[in-house]
Amino acid sequence: MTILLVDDEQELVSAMAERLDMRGIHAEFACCGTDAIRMAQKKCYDVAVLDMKMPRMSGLELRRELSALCPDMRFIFLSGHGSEEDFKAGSAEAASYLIKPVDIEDLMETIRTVMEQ
Amino acid sequence: MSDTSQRDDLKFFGQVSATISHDLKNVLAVINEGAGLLDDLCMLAGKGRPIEPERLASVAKSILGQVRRGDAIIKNMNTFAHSVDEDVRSMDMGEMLTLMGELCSRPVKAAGASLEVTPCECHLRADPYGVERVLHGMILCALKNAQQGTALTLSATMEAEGLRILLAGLPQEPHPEEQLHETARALGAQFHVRNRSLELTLPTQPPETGN
Repeated sequence: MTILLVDDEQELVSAMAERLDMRGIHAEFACCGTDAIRMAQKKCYDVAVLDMKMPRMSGLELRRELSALCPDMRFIFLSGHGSEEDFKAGSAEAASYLIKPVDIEDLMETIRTVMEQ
Repeated sequence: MSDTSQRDDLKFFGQVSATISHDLKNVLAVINEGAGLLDDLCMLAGKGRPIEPERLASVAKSILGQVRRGDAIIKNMNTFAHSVDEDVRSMDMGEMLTLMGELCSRPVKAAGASLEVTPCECHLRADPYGVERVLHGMILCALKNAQQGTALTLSATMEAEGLRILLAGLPQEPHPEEQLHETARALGAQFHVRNRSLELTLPTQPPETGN
């Protein structure tokens, strides 16, 4: 299983990727939508974990681009706010939705859940 | 103050507060991952995998950097919150422009633009909250048509007619909403759109409110 983490907070996604690797899940990361698309053009990831609010391209926009490239990719959204608006948008578009800061075990559990769906 | 004006006032406060809370959430999220990573490394060390001191130092440095970032955000939040303490006071406009540049850093980044604040040593006696509101409105107005790489500059100079604040570098002629003009008028300021710039001239003395 390979995970793509996308967030403009580089220190966040690099630490998260390392922690997932330690738990046996190979994770790679990108800090913007453009880089994420470039990575997904080279290989299809099983799950993409996307920050909802990123500069230039939002998580929702990126999800559409990545779905077009890899139709089987599953999605988990990350949000800083957890507002009703974000929740509705995330729920409509993705398999799951987590609020920052995220507990790594919750992320692991959510990844397992979306993979089983 | 009319109901609409009061609501616009609250809307501005809400917009700034939402940006601050989002930034703080991100700081906490990075600290959470850094601390979690240290915990994971310690657990692995307990199972016999050696920890490289450089790796620990790097994670600790990241956490300390985020604490400083969070502290700066909270200082700005505190300065902003206290701007309503007095209706009128003397302000260091260099500090004011820097504060608003930092409070607007998220929407600036989201637009793919940059905002450089030119240092200045001007002082002005005015309504701090009103000045913050009009500067915030000018920056958001400038960002409406911003493109990737748009480089905005914000500067202030003392002129004969008052303190002139210039927001330059807009990619095209902006069309400010009437509300921005109203906010400027409430400060007794002149507000103009010129050569893809927004120009605000604040009087050296605040207008009489009549209250």
